[in-house]
Amino acid sequence: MTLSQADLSSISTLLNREPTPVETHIFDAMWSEHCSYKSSKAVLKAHLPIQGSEVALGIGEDSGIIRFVVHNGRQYCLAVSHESHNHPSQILPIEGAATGVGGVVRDVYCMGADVIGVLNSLHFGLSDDPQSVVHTIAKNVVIGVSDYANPLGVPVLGGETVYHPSYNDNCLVNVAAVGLIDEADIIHSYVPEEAKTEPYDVILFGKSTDATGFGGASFSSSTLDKENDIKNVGAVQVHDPFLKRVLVEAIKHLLQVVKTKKIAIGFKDLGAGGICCATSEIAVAGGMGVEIDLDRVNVAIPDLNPEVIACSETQERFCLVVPRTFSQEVLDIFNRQFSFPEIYPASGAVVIGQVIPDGRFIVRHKGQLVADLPVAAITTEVKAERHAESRPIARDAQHSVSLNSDEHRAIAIQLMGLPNMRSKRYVYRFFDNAVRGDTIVYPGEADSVLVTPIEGCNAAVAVSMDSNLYGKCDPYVSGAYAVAEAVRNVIAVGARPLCVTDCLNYGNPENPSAFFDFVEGVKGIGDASRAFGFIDGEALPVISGNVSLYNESKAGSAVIPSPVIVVIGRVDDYHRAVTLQLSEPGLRLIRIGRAYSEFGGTQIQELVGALNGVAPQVRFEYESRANRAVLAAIDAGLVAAAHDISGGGVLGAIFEMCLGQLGDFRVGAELSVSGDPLTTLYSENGGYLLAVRQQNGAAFEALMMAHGQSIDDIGRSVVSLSVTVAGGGVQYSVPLTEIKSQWRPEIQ
Amino acid sequence: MANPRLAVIQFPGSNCEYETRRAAGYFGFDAEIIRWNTTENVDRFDAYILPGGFSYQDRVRAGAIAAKLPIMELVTRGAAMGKPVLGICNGCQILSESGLIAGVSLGDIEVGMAANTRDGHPIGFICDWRYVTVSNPSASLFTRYFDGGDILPVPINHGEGRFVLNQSAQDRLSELATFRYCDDQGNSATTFPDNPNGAYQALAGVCSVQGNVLGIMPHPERSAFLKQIPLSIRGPWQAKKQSVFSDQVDGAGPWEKLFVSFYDYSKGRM
Repeated sequence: MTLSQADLSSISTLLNREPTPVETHIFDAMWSEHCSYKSSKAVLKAHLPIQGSEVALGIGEDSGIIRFVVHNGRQYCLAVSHESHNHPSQILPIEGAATGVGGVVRDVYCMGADVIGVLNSLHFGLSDDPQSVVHTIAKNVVIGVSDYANPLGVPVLGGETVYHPSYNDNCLVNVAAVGLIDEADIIHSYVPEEAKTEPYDVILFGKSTDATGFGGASFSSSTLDKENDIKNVGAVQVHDPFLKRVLVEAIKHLLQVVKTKKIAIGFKDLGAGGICCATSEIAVAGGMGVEIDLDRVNVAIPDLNPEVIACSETQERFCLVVPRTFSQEVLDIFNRQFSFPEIYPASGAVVIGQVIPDGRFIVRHKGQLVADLPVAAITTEVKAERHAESRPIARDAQHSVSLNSDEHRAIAIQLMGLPNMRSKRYVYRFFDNAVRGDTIVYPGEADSVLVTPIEGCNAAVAVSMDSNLYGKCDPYVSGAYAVAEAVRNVIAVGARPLCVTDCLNYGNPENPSAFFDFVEGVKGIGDASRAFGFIDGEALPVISGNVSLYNESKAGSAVIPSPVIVVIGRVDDYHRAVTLQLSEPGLRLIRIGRAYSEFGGTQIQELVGALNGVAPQVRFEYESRANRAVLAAIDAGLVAAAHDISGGGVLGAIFEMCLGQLGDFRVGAELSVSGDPLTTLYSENGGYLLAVRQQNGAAFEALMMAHGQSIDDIGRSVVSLSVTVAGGGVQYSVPLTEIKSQWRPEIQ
Repeated sequence: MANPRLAVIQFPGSNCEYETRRAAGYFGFDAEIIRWNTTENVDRFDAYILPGGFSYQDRVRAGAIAAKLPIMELVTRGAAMGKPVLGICNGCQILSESGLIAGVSLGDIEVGMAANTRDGHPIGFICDWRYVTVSNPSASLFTRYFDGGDILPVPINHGEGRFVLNQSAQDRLSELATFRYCDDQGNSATTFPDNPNGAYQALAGVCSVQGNVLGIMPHPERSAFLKQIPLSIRGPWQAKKQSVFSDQVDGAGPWEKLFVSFYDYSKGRM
C-alpha cells in the first residue's frame, strides 16, 4: 500500500472515523497517482487543448471519441484509449505487457466500440552484457504483446521500439487501442437518468474474481525496488485473451439487443481498483449511489478476504448497470448463449448489487457492512503539491566538426546499424498485423499503417505512435517533437490528422527536476497540438491520455522524459494513399523542411560525440505550413512516394526509402549536399522527403509556391543500387547491399 | 436458384470469422457465422469453413479441444457426405485434430500441427507473407482451377503451423499435398524463411483422400482482395497492388480461383 500517514489522517477527517480495511484499500487505489492524477491533473488542465468540433466524447470516460466519416447516413467515430503498463512489465514482462494490451482494449470495448487495432511503444534498455536482464525483458515484452493481441484478433498496427540505457531499470510499455463505433451507439460509463425512476441492477461479468493484481494501482504509483520484486509479483494481473475474445462476441450480441430494445444502460471496464473503483465510479458519475454484496461475486477460490474481492484487479471483467427487468436477459446471454461457465471455471455474469438513490457506496460481505462511504468522499479530488525546478537547456547551436569523405562514408554505413535505426522486423514478425482483413498498407510500407474498417467505404484510418530521445536535452522539445512527428507520419500517407492522444512517462514527481521535465513536456505537447490543427481556428484535440510517473528505480536511475504520442488521421479515399519506397529511377527527391545544426539526442550524435546538445527545435509556424502544403500535394496526386525526416535525418530517410519494408531495394539515389554536410545529411529537424515524377514537377512547384512553401531539390532516384552523396566538400558512394547488411543483418 | 449456404463456424476463440464471411460472401456464398454451441441443425448448410483463431487458447494442442466439440460430429457427417469443408489456420489445426484431413478414412489422425521451427529450433509466432504453389490441382475440389504454375502470395500468422505426417500419410503424400511453400520464383522451399515453420516437405495445405476437405495454414481470406496484398510482395502481384493506388483498381486477389472453385462445387452439389 502507498497511502501516506497524511493520507490516512485526511481519510479519518473526511469520514469522521477510522476507515475499515476495505475502505482503506479503496482509498489506496483511488488516491494512487495512477487513478487520481494527483500530481499531474493541474498541469494537464492548464496546457492541453481538449476541445474540438469533431470530438464526440472528450477526456473523462474510458476512451476519447473523434468523428471519423459519414457513410450511408451513419456517423462513424473512432474511440481511442492510450495506456502504460510499465511497472508490471518490468517485474513480469510477459504478463505485464499482455495485460497492458488487455486493459487498453477494455477501455474501448466498454464504449460500445469494436477494436480495429492496437499500437505499442516499447522502450527497452541497452546492455553489452548478453546475460543482462534487459534483453530478457525486451524479448518477453514482445511475447506478452503478441500473446494477447494475436488471440484476441486485433491487428497490431504499428508503434515503435526504442532503445536507451535509461530504460535499463524501467522498461516502458505503452499501448493504444483504436475502436470503431457509430456515434449513435456510444455507451457511457455512468448510471443513466432512468435509474432515478426505476430499479437498476449492477452486473459483473467475465472471469471469476481471484487475488491477482491486488494492489496494482498503488504498485504502479511508486518507484521500483529490486528488494520488493517478489512482493510485487502478486500485484501484476494475469491475462486471458481467449476469454476476452469470447466476451467481446458476447458484448457485441448484448449491445445489439440493448440497441434494438432501446434500453438505457451504463457500461464500464474493471481496471485499477477492481470492483470497488468501477462500481463506485459508474454510480457516482451518474449522481447515484451503489450497494454491492461481495458474497454474490463469482470467485475462483474460496475464502478470499473482502478487500481482495473488492479491490483485486483480476483481468477480463466488466460491469454493467441495467434495468432490473432486463437483468435476466443479460445473464442469459453470458451464462447460456455463450456458455461462459462451461468454458472457464466460475466465469459468467452475475448480479452483484443495485443502484441506490442516496449518494452512498455500500459494500457487504457475509452479512457485515465492510464499507459505507459517502460518494463525496470517493469523488474528493486529491491534489499533491509538486514543485518544478528548472534546469539549464542548451540553445547554442554552433558546431565546428568537420569530417573527410572517408569518415563520412564510414558513419553513413554505421547509421542504419544503430539500435534505433535498424529494421525492427525481429520484433514485429511476432505481431499479427492483418487479422480482421482490413489492413491495406502494412507496417514499414509507409509512415502510417492504413486500415479500411468500414465495409464498402473507401475512407481509411491512418495511425502513428511516436516518441523520441530528445527529452534529456530538452523536455519541452521532446513533447512538441513527438506530436510534430506523429502528425507528419499521418500526413505522409495522405491522411488529414484528426486528434492526438498521449502517454506521459516520467520519473518521480516529488523530485522537482523530474517534475519540471513533466511540465515542460506537457507544454510542448499542448503548443504543438495548438499549432498543428487542421480545422481552422482549432487545435488538434487531445482526446485521451495517461500519465505514468515514478518510472525510476530506488537506486535513483530514472527514464529520460518520454512522452509518447498517437495521432490518428483519415485518408478520404485509400486509392490516393502514398507509401514510402522508391520504385522507379528518375524521380526528383525534394526536401520540405529546413535543417539546423541542432544535434542533441540525435542519431548522428551517437556516432560523432563532439556535436552540440541542442535538441532539434520544432518551428511551429513553418512546420504547420509545410504540413498543409505536403497534404495538398498528395491530395493532388503529385507525390510518388513520401517519408518523414526524423531520426537519422535526410540520409536515414533516403536509405529507408530505398530499403522499403524488407530491404528489397529496387533503385538507388544520388544526393547533393549544399552547406554543412553533417547538418544537411543528419539534422533531425522535422520535414519530409518527397519523390516527384518529372512530369509532375511543374505542377508540384506551382502548388508549393501557392502554399508559400520553399522546396529543396536534393537529388534523384537512379538505376544504380547505391546511394551517392556529393557536395559540401564530401564525395562518396555506398552500395545498398552494405546498408542492408547493417540494417537487417539476418533474415527474421 | 439460391446461392450455396456456407456455415462459418465460430469456436470459442475464433477470430477470423468476420473477414472469412466477407470473403466468402464476395465470391457468392450465402455465408453465416454459426456459434459452436448452437442447438440448430447445421446439416442445412451446403459447405463449412472453420476459420482462424485460437480456439480454447491452443490448450493441450492447437485445435485439440475444439475437435472434440459436438458440432464437429456434424461437420464430420457433412464431410462424409461429400460436402466441402475448408479449415484455415486454427481451422486447419482443428481438422487435423479431428482426423478430417490426410486419414485413409475420416477420423484417422495421421497428421499433426507442431510448433514452428527454424533449423529444428522453436521460433514462436510468425506474421509474414510467403508464397505457395499448388501441388496437385486435381486432388481437391478447392484447387481444380489452379495450375502448377500459379505462385500465390499469402499471409501466414501462426505459432503452430508445422505439418508433421506419420508414415502412412507420408506414403500417400502425392494425393494429399495441396499447397507447398515456395520462393517468389516458384521453386520449392527448402530453408527458412521460404519454408517459414519447418513443415514436412514445405507443406502449407493438406486435403482429405476424397478431396472435399482442405486444411490450410496460410490465410486465403486475407488475400482474397487485391487491396489486402502488401506492396512489398515480389512478383506480378506487386504491380497489381501498385495499381490500387496508381489506377484506382479494386477486385479479387490471388486466391480468387480457390473461392470460385469452392463456390462452383458447392453450387453443383445443390
